[in-house]
Amino acid sequence: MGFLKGFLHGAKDLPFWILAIRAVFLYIALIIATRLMGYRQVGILTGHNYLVAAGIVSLAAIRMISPESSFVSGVVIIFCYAGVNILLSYLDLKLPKLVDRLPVVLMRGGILDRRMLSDAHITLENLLGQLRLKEASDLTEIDTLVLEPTGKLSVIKKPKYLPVTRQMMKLPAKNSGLPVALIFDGQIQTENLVRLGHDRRWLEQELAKQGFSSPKSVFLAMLNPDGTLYTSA
Amino acid sequence: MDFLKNVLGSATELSPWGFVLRTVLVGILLWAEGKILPHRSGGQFAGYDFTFFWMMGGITAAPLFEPKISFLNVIAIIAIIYLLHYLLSFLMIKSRTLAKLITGEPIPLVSGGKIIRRNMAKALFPLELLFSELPSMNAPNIHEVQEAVLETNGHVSVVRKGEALPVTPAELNIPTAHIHSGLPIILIHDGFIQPQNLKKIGRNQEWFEQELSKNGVLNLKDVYYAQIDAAGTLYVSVK
Repeated sequence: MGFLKGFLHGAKDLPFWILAIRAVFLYIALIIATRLMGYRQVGILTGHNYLVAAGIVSLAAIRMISPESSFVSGVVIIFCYAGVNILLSYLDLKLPKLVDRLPVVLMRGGILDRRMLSDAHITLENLLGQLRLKEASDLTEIDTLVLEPTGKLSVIKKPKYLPVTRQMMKLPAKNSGLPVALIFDGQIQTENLVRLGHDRRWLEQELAKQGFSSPKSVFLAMLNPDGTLYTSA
Repeated sequence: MDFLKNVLGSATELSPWGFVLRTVLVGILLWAEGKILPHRSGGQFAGYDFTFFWMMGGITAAPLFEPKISFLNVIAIIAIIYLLHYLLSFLMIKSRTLAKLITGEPIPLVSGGKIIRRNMAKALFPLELLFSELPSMNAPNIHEVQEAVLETNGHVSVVRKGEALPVTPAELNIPTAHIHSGLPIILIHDGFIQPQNLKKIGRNQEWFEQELSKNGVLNLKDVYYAQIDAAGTLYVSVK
């Protein structure tokens, strides 16, 4: 019984294996909490995501190694913390202006906004460095610069400096979209095949054209929107 | 001896010197972790990578928070978390169902040019966030977006509409057969010649020196970096 109490609520000293079990459970709790918080947490897209990342993890970390801290409170705090984060994200959805900061326009029509630069505490060196990272070191090519709330810089180039598109060359538009997996990790994706109006025989024929005797030998096959088939053994 | 025991184990009080030593040890531990961390965790492909990565940082630094926290525990817990992450990654390669359960599936945010409101709400993704992600995918104008997907790592990937795609050599019938692609092979790295790479391309040092002299480099020792790409073009940068 003493073990269980120590495991749940902490004790002056705990045998190593109890700490180990606690670590496993806390790790699983954290993975579940991260899933609940959504992908935007993983990408650390807004300010509160940063704080949560740093906070929730050190909270759990301490409980993994310090025998005196309580396991129960650790799990409770992890999920409360996640709950607060989800609430903030939800509010962000409803009242974006309240939760997140607004983007700041640093350049408009090719002219830098000095006031905005100093308001955002961005030095010219910072700005030029970010532009180099974005392959936009030539400022004459830039029309608009936006500092996103996440701290990322968005560069919008003037149309004449953008890569040539099909439209400009009067070329017919290419069929665009996401490719669809027909064979994934060696398994034929029947659902996708049917959805696209093809069947197994068609797939086998297409694979044969690329020199595959059987679909089994294919690791990944993706049908592109333009009708070409990518395969990899 | 007692001092060392306090540094490595649990202590009620620790002198500043003890903490200095602990900091150095944390630094060594961080270096060792950096060597063995799985590549995917640094890339933060999915939620559990994120958990793992930040967690490792938190645990490693923990002995600096409090004298009571024992270093030996820290090392043991790091090993356990590492094994768990390894195990999860391994199981996810074996089972797609488990992978979907642990990492989730990408959520389409724009389909056929239309923003899917339901999925935006599901992912707790306000419009502002979508628009701030688009420029980094070279599609600042939503009008040009055919498909946008919220990936499990929290970032938005974009497929542009057909007419907004850049022109490729294939469309202009520009032959590219003579342009080989692939990774370049390093021949001199930081001043050191790489004989195994020369062998890989079926050349010897004599040939290499000849090629260098064509580039105006007379002595191998003057070269800081040299590579040959798949097309056979030599790049040389002298010291």
